[in-house]
Amino acid sequence: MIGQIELQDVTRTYTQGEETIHALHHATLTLEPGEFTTFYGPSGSGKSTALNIIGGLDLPSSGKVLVGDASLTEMTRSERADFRLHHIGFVFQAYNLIPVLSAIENVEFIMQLQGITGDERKERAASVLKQVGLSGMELRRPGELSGGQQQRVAVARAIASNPELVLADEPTANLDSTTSEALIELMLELNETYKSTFIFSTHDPLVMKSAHRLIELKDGQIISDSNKEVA
Amino acid sequence: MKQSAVIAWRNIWRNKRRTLITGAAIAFSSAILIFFIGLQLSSYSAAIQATTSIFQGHLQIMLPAYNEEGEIRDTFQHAETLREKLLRVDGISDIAPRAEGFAILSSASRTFGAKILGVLPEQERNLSTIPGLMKSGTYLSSPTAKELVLGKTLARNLKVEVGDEVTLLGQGKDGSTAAALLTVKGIFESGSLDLDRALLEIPLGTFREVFSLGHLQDNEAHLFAARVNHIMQTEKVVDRLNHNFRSAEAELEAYTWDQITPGLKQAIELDMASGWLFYLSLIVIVVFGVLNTFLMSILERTKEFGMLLALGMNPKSIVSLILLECVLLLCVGIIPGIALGAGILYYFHIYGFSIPGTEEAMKMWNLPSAIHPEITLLNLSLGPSILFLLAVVLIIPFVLRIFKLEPLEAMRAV
Repeated sequence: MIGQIELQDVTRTYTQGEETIHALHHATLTLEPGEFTTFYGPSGSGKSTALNIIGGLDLPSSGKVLVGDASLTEMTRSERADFRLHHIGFVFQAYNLIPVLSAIENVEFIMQLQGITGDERKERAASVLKQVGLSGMELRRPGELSGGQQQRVAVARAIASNPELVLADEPTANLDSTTSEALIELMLELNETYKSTFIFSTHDPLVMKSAHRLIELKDGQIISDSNKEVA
Repeated sequence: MKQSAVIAWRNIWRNKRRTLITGAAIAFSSAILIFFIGLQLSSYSAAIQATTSIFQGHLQIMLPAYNEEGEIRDTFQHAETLREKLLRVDGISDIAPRAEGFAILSSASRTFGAKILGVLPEQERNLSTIPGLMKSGTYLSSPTAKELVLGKTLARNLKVEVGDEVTLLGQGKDGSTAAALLTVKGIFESGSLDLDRALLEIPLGTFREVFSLGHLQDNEAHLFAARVNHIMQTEKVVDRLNHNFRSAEAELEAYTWDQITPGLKQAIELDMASGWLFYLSLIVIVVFGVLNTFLMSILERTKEFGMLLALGMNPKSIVSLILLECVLLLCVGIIPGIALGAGILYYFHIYGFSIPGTEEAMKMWNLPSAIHPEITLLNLSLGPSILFLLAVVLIIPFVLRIFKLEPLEAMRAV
């Protein structure tokens, strides 16, 4: 288990021409293992930046990021890549599946990079696809699936190797409300089953309604952080 | 690896039309390269074969001093015994001793200088095409007959015909005057201007007697001319002779045809250089086409590479995947290209390739009027291999840019 996730006084600045933009400004927070957390706020508030920094896809300009005992800010590029591969599952807004691979091959792909052997990999991929409701569609390629189905494949890919942390960047942005709801229910179920930590960035009220913890961002600053009672 | 191969193979077919056009260009150029290289190498082979078979053989064995100075005194003894031993060397198919000298030739009305070659007629028939190129008369009949055969230009210059007598005047091995009166037995037309103008052959026994090459039982000669089973083996056989035979036998040294006739090799190299200029131009054009296709494919997929990096895929694995795609794309063209090229070569191997109107010129150079290109591994692989290697080498710097790719930036690429 990777344990707690800590952002310690994290700032991320970008320069655009002569202007300095604070995508994240002195953000400090702690996320407990197994939490279902959502970053929300308007566009440009720093949701995606926070997610990218927690996932080791981006580095803060200052501050420290600790994921369990590991300090992402002190890792090399390849160590971060390895950390992502073995501990984090990603769900992107634009699905980002490999177009030449079928649904099951997409799910297997990460497991293969992790070195999981053939039969076990196939079994797990088929089981996860069944779990996300894509039984019978294993051999379809992304181009033959609807947006909702593709996002389900992306979720299946993210959770197939039981990562301790799943990061989802606006996963419902391109989906209709019914599909979004089904997807959120699925992720809640997976959170319950695998006890993985789920962190979302969104401005979808449906996602916010389902989250256990809501962290509001504005202009790169955390302006509210509320925990809901979980039934 | 299996998964990477599957992804790479499917990736190259993402844009079928582009892959097919690029593959067709590679296939077509590979076939052209195979045909022209095959034709060129086979024509060299034919030229070498023609040149060596007229007279000089694939290799010659002599004393190093004779090779350097060409002095009549640099002979070796026991030529017959040595010949028997040399014939047993692996790779040698025929071998014959020769003696060489120069003399002034006089007919009734003219005097000319020429190279005099002492040969054993029976052995020479297996080694040289001259016995079969008699324009008039016949070839030498016995090792000790007082007769000669000469090139048609030399015969014309001397104004002699078959049956006429020619006086030969030179210097013997011991410094004495070498003189003889010999009858013209035949006149040959070798196709080589040099040989037809300046070569005269006499029986080896007669040569030894006229040029005072020791006692008859010494069996002296200046060199052995030999043929090997296949001309490509010449160097190997020469190495074998120089390593295994030389130390034991009379300090003789073997020389390949191109050491004996460097001019032919130089002419081939010059022709080859101009040929390669054409081949490289063709290869470069095709490689740029491949590069274009490939760079398009890499640029289009920057976002996908960013996603793979984000998921934790090692940049090295992505680079390997792209290089594998490059190799597969090249194979898509090269494999049918080799098949097509082999088919074309096979057709001309059977029916021969000739350029109309060049038959006479070819004959003049003692070359066959049609070239029958060989289907060898070298002919089939040389051009496509260079195309393949050049394409891969030129693509590598572009592919290495993956190492600099940041996952987030790449995922935002349009």
